[in-house]
Amino acid sequence: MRDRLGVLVVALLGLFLLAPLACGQEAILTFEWGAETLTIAPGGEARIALVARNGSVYEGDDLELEADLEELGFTLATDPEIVKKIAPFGDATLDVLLAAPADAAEGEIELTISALYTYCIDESCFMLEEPLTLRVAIVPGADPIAATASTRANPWPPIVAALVLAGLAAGLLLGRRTRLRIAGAVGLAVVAVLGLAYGTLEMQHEQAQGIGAVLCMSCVGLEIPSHEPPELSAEDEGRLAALTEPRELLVFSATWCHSCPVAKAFVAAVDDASAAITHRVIDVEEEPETAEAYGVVVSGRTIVPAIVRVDTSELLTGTDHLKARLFELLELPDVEETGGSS
Amino acid sequence: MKLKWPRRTVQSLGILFGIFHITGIGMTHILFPGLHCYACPLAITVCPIGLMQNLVAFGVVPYFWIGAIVAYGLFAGRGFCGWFCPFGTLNDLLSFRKVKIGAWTSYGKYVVLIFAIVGAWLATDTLFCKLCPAASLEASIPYLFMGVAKLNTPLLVHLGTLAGTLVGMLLVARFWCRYLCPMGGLLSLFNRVSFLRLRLDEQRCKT
Repeated sequence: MRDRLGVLVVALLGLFLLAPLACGQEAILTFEWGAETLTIAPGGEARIALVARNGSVYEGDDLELEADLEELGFTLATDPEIVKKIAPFGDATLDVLLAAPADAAEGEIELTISALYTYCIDESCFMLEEPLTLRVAIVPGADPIAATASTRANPWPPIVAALVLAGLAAGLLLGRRTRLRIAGAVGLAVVAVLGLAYGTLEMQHEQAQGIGAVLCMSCVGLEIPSHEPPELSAEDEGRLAALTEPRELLVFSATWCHSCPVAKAFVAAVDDASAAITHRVIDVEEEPETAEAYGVVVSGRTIVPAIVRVDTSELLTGTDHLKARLFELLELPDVEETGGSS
Repeated sequence: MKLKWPRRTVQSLGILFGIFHITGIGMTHILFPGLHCYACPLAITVCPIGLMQNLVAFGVVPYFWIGAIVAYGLFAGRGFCGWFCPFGTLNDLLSFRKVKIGAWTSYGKYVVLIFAIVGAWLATDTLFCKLCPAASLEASIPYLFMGVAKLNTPLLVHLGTLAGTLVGMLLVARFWCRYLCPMGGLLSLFNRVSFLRLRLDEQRCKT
C-alpha cells in the first residue's frame, strides 16, 4: 500500500514539474509571400516569391494562381505556370510577376489572388481554392523588378542527409568496439545535434506534431480507409427529396485532414438532393470554439471529419459507413411512407 | 532488487508523461522514448514508430526523428523499455513466468522493425500501427468507449493482436519487449554506447 501511495505522490509531483515542457497545437498548411508588400512603379513590373508549404500527408497537385485583375489594369504571370506536384511536407516556390498599369494611382492596394490546386488521396482528387491577399505599394520611380523570388534549389538537404546517415553508421560501428566506444558516442552525439537542429530548421518538428495532433481514424486502424464518397442511388435521392422538415448540418474539417474531402463531397451531394437540407463547412482551425461547442474536439484531439445535425447536436465522426450513418442522423423518411417509388 | 523502488518511480513518471493531456495540454513536438501511441486520447507526445512510418511513406529524410532517436539511444539505449515505456511497464507487471524462449527469437523485434519500415515504404501506409497492441490498448479501446470508434474489422484486428500479446506476456516474461517490439529493436542498437547501461562487474560475477 505504501509503495502505491509513493508512486502516486511521485506521479503528482512530476505532473507539475513537467508541465512547462509542453506546448500547444499549431496549423500546418500555409502560403507565404516572399515580402510583406510588393513595391511597383506605375507601368512597371515587379517580382515576388510565393512559397506553398504542404503540411498534409497527401500530395498537392497542379497549383496555379488565378486573379481577376483586368478591371484594375494589372496583369499577373507565374513561373512555372503550374506546379505539377507538391510532395507531402514538401514545398514549392512560384515566381510571381506582376505588371502595373501606367495610370496606376500612387498608394497601397490589396489584390485578391486565388491559389487553385488539387488535393489527392490515392486516386481521388479534390479541387481546392485558397484566397490570398497581396499588398501592393504603387510608388512612382520604384525600381523595376523590386522584390525578387529566391527560387534556387536548396543544396543542403542531400549534404546533411549524407552526413547524418554516414555519422550514424560510423558511430554505431565504432561503438561496438570497446576501445572506440567513446569515439562512437561522440560521433552519435554530433548526429543527434545535427539531426535535431536541421530537422527543426526544416520544420520537421511541426510535421511530427501535426501527425500526432490529428486523429486519422483509418491510419491507426479505427476504420477502413475510404477514398471515394458514397454514391446516391435513385432510392436515396427519393428519400432525400421527400424530406420536408428542415435539417441543418455542420461539416467540421481541416486542411490537413485525410478523409474530409470525402465527407464534404458527400454532404454537398446530399444537400443538392434535398431542398430541406442545408450545410456549412467549418474549418476547425478557424472556428475552434464552434468545434469545442459541438464536441468535435475530444480530449484535446481534433477528430475530423465530423458531421453535426444542429437541431439535435448529434455528432457523426469518420467516414466509415458514411451513407448509412448520415441517413440515420437525418432521420430520412422511407420512400413507401411518402408514397414515392424506389 | 535494490532498484525496484527507483524503477517503479521512473515507470510511474513514464505513464504520467504518456497521459499528460490530463493537464489540458495539447499535442507537442516531443517524440516519446518508447512505444506509446500518439492517437491515445491522453497523449501529448508522438510515437517514434508511427512517425517513422509516416515519414518513410512520404519519402522524407527524417532528420528530426533521427536526431531524437539517437539522443534517446545515447542517453539510455534500451533502458527506456524497462524503465520508462508504459507498454513496457505493462509487460513488467504481467511478468509472472520468468521463462525465456529460444535466443534466436529475440531477433524477432528487428524483423518487426524492418516490416514496419518496408511495409510503410511499399504500401505508403502505416501498416504496423494497424496491428500495434499498444495502439489497441491506448487508442482503439478508449475510442470505442468514447463512441468515436465502432466495433468493425480493423478494431477487431487490433483487439486480436492485443489479446495475443497479453497471452504472450502472461506465458513468457516481457514477451512483447523482448521478442517483438520494434522500438526496443531500434533502441537496442545504442546499448553499447549509451550513457546509462548495464556494466559487468567481473569481481562479483565470476561463475
